[in-house]
Amino acid sequence: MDLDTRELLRKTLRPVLAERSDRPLSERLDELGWDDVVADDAALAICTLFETKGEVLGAGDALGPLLARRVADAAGMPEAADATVVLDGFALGPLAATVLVPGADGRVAVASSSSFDAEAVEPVDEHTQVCRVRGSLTDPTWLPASVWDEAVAGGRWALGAELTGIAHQVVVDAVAYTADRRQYGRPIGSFQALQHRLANAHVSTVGARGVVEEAARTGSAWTALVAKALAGAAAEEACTHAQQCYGAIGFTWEHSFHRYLRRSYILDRLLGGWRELEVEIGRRLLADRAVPKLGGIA
Amino acid sequence: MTEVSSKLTGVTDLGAGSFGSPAEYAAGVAAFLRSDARMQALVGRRWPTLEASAVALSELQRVLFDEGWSRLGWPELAGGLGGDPRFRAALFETLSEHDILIPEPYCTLEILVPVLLVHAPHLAERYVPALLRGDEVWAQAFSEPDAGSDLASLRTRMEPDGEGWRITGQKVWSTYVHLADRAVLLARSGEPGHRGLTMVLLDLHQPGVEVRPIRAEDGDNHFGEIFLDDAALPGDRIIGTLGQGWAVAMYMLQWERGAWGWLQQGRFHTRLAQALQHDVDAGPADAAAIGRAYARLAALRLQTAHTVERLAREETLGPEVSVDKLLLIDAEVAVWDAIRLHLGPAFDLDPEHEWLRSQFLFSRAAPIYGGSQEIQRGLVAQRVLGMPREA
Amino acid sequence: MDLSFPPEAEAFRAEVRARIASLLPEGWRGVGALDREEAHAFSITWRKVLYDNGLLGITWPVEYGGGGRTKVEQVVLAQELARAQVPAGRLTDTTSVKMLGNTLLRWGTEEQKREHIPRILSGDEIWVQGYSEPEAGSDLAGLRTRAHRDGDEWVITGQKIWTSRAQEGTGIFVLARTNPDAAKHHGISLLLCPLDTPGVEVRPIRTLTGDDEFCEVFFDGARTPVDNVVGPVDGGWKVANSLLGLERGEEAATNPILFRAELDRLVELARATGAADDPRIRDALAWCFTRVEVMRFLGYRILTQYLRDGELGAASSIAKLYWSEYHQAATDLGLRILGARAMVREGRRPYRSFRTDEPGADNSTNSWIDVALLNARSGTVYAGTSQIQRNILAESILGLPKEPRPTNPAA
Repeated sequence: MDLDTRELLRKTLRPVLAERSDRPLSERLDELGWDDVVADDAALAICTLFETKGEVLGAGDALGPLLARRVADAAGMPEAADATVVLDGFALGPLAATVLVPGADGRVAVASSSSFDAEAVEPVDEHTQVCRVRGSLTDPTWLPASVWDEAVAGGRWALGAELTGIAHQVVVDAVAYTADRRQYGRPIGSFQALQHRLANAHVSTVGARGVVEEAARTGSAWTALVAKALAGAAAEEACTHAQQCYGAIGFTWEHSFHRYLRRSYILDRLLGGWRELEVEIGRRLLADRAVPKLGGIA
Repeated sequence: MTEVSSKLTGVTDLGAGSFGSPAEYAAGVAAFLRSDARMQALVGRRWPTLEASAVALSELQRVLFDEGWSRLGWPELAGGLGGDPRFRAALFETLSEHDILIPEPYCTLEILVPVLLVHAPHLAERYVPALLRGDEVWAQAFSEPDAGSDLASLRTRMEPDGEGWRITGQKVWSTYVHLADRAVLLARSGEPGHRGLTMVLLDLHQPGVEVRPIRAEDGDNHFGEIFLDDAALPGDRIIGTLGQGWAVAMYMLQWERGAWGWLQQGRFHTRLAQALQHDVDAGPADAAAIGRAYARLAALRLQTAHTVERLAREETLGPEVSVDKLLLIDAEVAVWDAIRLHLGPAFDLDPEHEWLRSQFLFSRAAPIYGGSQEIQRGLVAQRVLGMPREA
Repeated sequence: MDLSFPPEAEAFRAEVRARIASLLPEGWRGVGALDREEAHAFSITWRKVLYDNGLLGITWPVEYGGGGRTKVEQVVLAQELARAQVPAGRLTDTTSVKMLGNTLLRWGTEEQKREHIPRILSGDEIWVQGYSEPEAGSDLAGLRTRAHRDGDEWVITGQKIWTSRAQEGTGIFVLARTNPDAAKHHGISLLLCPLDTPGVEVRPIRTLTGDDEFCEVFFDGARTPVDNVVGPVDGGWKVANSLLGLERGEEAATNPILFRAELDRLVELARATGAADDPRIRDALAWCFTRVEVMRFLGYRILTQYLRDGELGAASSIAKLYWSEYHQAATDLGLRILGARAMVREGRRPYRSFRTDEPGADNSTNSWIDVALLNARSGTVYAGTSQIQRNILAESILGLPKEPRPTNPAA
């Protein structure tokens, strides 16, 4: 996918993802002819989707379907593609007929949802639906760890893309605010302290995005791990610095900032928070005593 | 012009077409490094002083030139064999992978030669082959005691003298200058501010030029001062045109900030991997520091690979190269912090780690040289994000 | 270095400790154990208890209803109330008692003191702060609310914002520009204006946690008697700034108690979730412990300076930076320890919007989420952003050159 096509895709996706409706995301994407877009360049299309979702705080669960589809593909089990994924006792939407529940040993169970209860809870992020899921697996089919690893890899870089989308938009909005807001006779964006904060946030976002796209391109689980670690940190950094730029107004309900902050909290908690992932990266390097190189010069 | 050894490929025509891709070329370099006794003798070698290191590595430069390996990636005009910067990047990567120190002059070449190729090809033709071979050494002389971040305020003057010029003033923080034969120098030829600057190639071994090394905190003479008192500059030594110095320096920046990052990431991967070979009781903070460093190193690597590819396509890089520089600073500091933490008290106390300690100390300079971290952040904020200039 | 309080203060401590204990409700577990409505109601009834027992305004002159005691004793009382997990008053007392009450005692006329101090103490008057404006935040001196003399009244026109709890107030003390021709800092006056004055409108602002903590206050030709200026006319800037030290001084004594209590909850949370087995979490908790300990000693130093000089200067910037940045790290750690549960809002929400949740609060996700999102993150913004604090430190303590500042109030 060339740059222009990608930009066009982004522009097309923005209003679709920004739509605040109860219509499932899949339905809205179908209308776009999403399957054709994916057929052209799946990785970059999905990357762009999640990035744009982050930028506009798109509602709807894109992660669950992605994880379920990857499980289905990796296991050759098409019926798993519509399953609800349960992560740490939570699901991002109502229960479908089938659930996918990762086990402690790395395998993932496919089972009927009939012995499960889902209770809608009040989420930190009002536009992300969260249900607490309780129950027990009856008659599960256990899929090998490699299947779940495959799914998680995809989930991690997708969330990484959404997190970099959040980080990017947060920086853009803060830059715009600091250009308009004046104190001491000048726009506050002309003060070094704020310039340096937002520059740092931008650099972290660019760095993270590069790794996210590499993970999407290669499908490497390791790269996806690194990508999510960087993206989570970048989103947190962007939010912290932007909040300092906004001052008091950033603490109002009306201002959009807190919605980005809340969304980034949730996304960092799914499939590994950035601090935990950094430790996991370190542990792996220590165990292997090797430092793998990502990408290179073509 | 030195004859290139036929050992290279068994083919006399050694244009870039002999190696289809940088990856193939890297494999060729690797094979050479593994099979050549002189190269093997350099694996893992460290020297107690910068000067000793410079002597040994200039020998490396000679071998790599005579065998042709360092000539790919430079145009024939300048003593090269053709090919784009990706080939040079492949050479650096492969040297680092084999734990052979990259000669400092290669870094100088990366920064200075592209500028010459564009703005003074006659000087490139005349001098770069010897520079590439290590027969001479160059330094970069921009900063002054009163002109660091605010380089445009520099005061070293160049006055017309017949066909040429006379230069008077003082430069500081010039890397390796006490070992250098010539310097690429920025001087004031005209009005105050950035419009009155000219970039020149000055010979250092002449009356009116005094060079003094500055001992850095690790005990080595990493940089030096130059005192200029009517030093002579021939008329054909202007890089670009009179008064074009600032624009030429801006062009140089994309090499200094862009290509340099790629070179560094290769080194960091090797150093981190070497540190991991030590058997230590890694505490809880250790894995986190290593993971953090690796993630930033990965971001640097992917970003700078992309930048080198852009340079190879002869794209003009804009202010976004400051992002590369900032990623480099983050990665360099994080990697060395992680290495130091991992090796524990031994890092600071064990004589075996003397060289690592000096590298760690030098990494503390990363947020300062080549445009400080604060300057880079200001550039990103203003030129990339479009934030308002300060009042 | 002697870190003990003077013997008289310790005697006073024993006295108030016993008295407070006798006044506490049966089985008291801290304000945090009450739900939000109960906590609000309790803060008002408890305040009356304090007032009736002479434990409010104890350093104020007896002739106005105060206790005539020393600053040290005030600090001791504040500490004991914090340890007993009860408030020192209701939330509006920060502006009403601490800020305006003390300002009036220092700058007010005899009539003003007699009129207002007893009523501030009894709670019949509740004063809220009208300083910040939409266009005057960090650069407060750039404020635009105007007040001009018309006969024997001031006529106030303009807008204030971020006024805490104006819905509960009876009056507002307003910084207004009374001399537009003077230089920025020199044409400002501090005026008192009842909130039921015609032309005054209060509009709550919803915070990101969903509460109406702050308000906008609009003045449209609101009139207040000319005698309602506090301190010299056009000298309001000095008046307003003179008491920042007071707030920070007491805070220095009570913050370590509050943050230590919060850390204890955090450790309990780590144990309950099993996160305490994770060496990195233990590491992070240990870091928090050392920071709170340092905060304690920093507090002693600040307290000493405050008790000795009455002024704090730039040292208060250090304190504010220290505790506000610590708090963000500690609350982020709380969310980390909660893990996936931190995606979901459950349990009691904090009653306070500033600093920690109330002592006695449980480890509900709502407590940690709200404190992380609002209390902790706003800590580096209100009462001078961290950027401003660093500027002050750099200029006042490190002696770095000041940045040039324009003086045009209209800019």
